[in-house]
Amino acid sequence: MCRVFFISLQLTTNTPHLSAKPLIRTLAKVTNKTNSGSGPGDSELIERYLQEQNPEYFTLLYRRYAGKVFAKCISMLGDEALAHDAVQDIFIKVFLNLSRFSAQSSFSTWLYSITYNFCIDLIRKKKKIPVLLADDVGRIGDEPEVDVPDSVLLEMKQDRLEKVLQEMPEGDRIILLMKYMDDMSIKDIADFFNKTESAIKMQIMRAKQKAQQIYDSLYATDPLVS
Amino acid sequence: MEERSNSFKMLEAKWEAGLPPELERRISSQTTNMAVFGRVVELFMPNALETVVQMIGGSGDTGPQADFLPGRRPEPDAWPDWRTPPGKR
Repeated sequence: MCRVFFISLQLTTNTPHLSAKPLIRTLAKVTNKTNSGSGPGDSELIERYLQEQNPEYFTLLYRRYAGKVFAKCISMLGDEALAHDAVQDIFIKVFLNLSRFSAQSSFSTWLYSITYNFCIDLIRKKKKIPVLLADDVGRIGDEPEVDVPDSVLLEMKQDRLEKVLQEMPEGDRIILLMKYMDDMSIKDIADFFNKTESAIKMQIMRAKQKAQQIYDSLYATDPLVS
Repeated sequence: MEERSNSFKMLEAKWEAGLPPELERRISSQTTNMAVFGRVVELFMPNALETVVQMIGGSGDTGPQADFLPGRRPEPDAWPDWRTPPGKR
């Protein structure tokens, strides 16, 4: 069996399209091209990977998106070590399911939805929270009195915002991150959580109000917008 | 038009910068191993399975070589000989 494995390794390394150095050079060119906005897109890289089964193409995709995925994981999980493991698991999951990716949506959308789902599942398992968003969201007559302006959150000091987000309930934090970090539309968020758009609007209003309350409790002596 | 400041984006950039480089090596080695294993399976598994089947007493008469097994007469149309089969001109 070892011999078989060794022969297969030899075959793999002797295969012209798998020789490492020229490929890495090609990928470096691709990276540069992509950074300048004229290189092959994600779909093309996935297509090449599926044709040639070369993991280097996947490495390139990883380099493009790992930072964003890591930022999302750390923002949702609030723990660096957990976020490292999550990034690894997410990319392995993506690697194993690349053939199922359909070009109906962009690769980034697909990847981020996997990231969100993975982190939400992890939170549910760890903290034993059955649902992140309550079902009564958007009930008529239950609206928050004050709509906190977006600028309050958007112009908050970075370290304070980080602290406020850490203190928030998971569902509220995730919905604010989707709205303000990922610029997702209300419709997309509603589709993701399988809720109505009005329910999501209400949830965002409540989350903003909660953020303000947490800010006030943490930094009562300072003005809200710093 | 002046771009509005967004603390969320700044926070995201800060977190992105904290991605450890060794994570890429870990993921890259894992994906490479999986790809190599996939190739091994693809290249050798059919023959290995056939060998196992023959070792445990099964017959490999469902494969492409089935017509040419010893003691089994091939179909006239698949006659592996230069001679013309009887009845064919």
